[in-house]
Amino acid sequence: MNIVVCVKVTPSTAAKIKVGASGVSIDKQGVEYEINPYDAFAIEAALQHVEANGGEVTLLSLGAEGSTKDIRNGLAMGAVKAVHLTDDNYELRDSFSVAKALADELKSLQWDAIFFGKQAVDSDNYQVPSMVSALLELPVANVCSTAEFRDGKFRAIRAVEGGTEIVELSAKCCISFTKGPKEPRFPTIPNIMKAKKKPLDQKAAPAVENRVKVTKLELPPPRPAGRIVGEGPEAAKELARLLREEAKVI
Amino acid sequence: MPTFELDEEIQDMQKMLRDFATEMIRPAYREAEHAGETPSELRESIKELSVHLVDMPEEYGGLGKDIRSAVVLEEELSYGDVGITVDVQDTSIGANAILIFGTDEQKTNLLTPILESGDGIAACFSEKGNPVSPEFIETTWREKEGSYKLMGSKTFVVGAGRAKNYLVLAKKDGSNDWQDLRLFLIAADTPGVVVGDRLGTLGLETCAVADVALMGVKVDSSRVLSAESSDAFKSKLGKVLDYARIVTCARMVGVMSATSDYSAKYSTERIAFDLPISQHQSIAFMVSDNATDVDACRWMTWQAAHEYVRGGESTANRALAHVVERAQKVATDSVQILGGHGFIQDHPVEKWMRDLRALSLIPGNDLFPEHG
Repeated sequence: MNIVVCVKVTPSTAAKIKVGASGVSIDKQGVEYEINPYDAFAIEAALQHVEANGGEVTLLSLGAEGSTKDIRNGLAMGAVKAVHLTDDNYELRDSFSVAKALADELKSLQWDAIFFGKQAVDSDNYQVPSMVSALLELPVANVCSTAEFRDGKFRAIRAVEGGTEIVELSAKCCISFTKGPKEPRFPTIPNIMKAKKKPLDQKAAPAVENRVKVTKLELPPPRPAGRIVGEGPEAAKELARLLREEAKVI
Repeated sequence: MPTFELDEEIQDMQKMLRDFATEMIRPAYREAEHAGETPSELRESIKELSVHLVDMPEEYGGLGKDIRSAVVLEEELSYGDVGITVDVQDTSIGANAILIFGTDEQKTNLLTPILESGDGIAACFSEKGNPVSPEFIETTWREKEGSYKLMGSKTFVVGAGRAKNYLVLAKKDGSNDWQDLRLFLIAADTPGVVVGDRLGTLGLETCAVADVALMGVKVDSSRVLSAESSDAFKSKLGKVLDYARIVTCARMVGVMSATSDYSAKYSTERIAFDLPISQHQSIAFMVSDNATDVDACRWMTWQAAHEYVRGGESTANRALAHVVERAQKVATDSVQILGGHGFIQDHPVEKWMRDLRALSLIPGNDLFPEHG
């Protein structure tokens, strides 16, 4: 089974984010990048599939030209090749623009299933997996923790309120992953070296017109300092009142 | 042109290992210390990373880089925890000895399988804390029809009872000639190898340290390493020991860097007299001195590694002497920065202080002969 994993290179979750001069994207100065953590779970799931069932994992990414280095980390995990659609203004694309470019590229790649992370931690739109599946007319299961392959079908497991939902999909499908039971593997030292020699096909991402326009980015307001309501049972009563009337959380 | 810039590939390895060290090794350091061993799952994960292959030649299954890469990677692992690093990274120092002393045939037959399996090799050089020199060695060999027999006892063997192999230094019975020294690569389960009771240690409690007795151990000549002359043996042994010293430096720098970072962060969070303690001069000086020492020690280690590769005059002793001295300062100052919190086990700095002291005393580091 050959699996394509769509990955995005996003700012490290430890990065301190500032809004850039344009007001619609972030200031990239000093920001470290890495493979989107949810995409790393998708790579891990894909590697486990090919280890169990044979086949190979290909990475497909749309992003800045400079993100090749980070895509190679995915190759070091065990993917055999990568396709990198370059666009230095990738963060100005909306989900459809990304999904359309990916879907068009996927038409020329060999695959049995397509895996994604459930969301990219930078734009947090959750839309690309569903859009790609719609464009390719494939079934999709989103936010799955695992997906077993049995008797020619995928059984994907999703955590839902108070339980789990098991979804069955035909083999040719799209699945997006959230944090699963197994953490993404660390690449070994030999695999880091091998990754340098693995094929990485780089080409300009096709232009696709946006349907959504980001007009402004704002950082959340700084959190106000905590307040000590008092001590003892009297304070508990006051705390409950404030939680209900002021914070409106109970 | 001098450069401190690491190539992209080493940077990738460094970054991966820093992540591994902080996410996988650091959380396990105390459990491993109390248990006296690395949790088996973690041991396997570290072995799987194959750091030990980085500086071994490709023809024997290595990755073809050299000790300049190894020091960067050893530092990163030790940043997580050096007890676990010394416990698990037990292949390369012995493997390097086979590389230096072995014939082509021995390298193919002995080194290749060890690199492939990642099995440990515990070095049994020192005896009773004496210098490594024929007149102080009491472990002896006798040869009969191509088979050797070893008698004697080695003290303070790190990895005793845990490594799959021992590399034993012994002299010919009755001879104090350097040329009659041999190194014997012995499988740990060979009859006559007797591991003594585990010794309690100041630091590095995760590692097993014990004496190893050799009671008439039979060794086939294919597993005996020798040199063509006294000078050659001395020079090769010097190279083996230099390698161990440089790797030890790198590991110590990793711990120094860890304790320096930890105490610096603590100093920005701990408030005294309405200010983070880092804003008080006496603490600020210690924090900046620590960071300076880490840099200086790292660069001396890298330079020693560079000279090792270049084959120039060895600076491994100089690097080790400096690193050992500055490590004690950085370790105790880091404990001091944490004040009352420094000596309790809720924080790792007290452990790192003990580990650094132990590393500076691992048998041999300050006992080896001059050479070259």
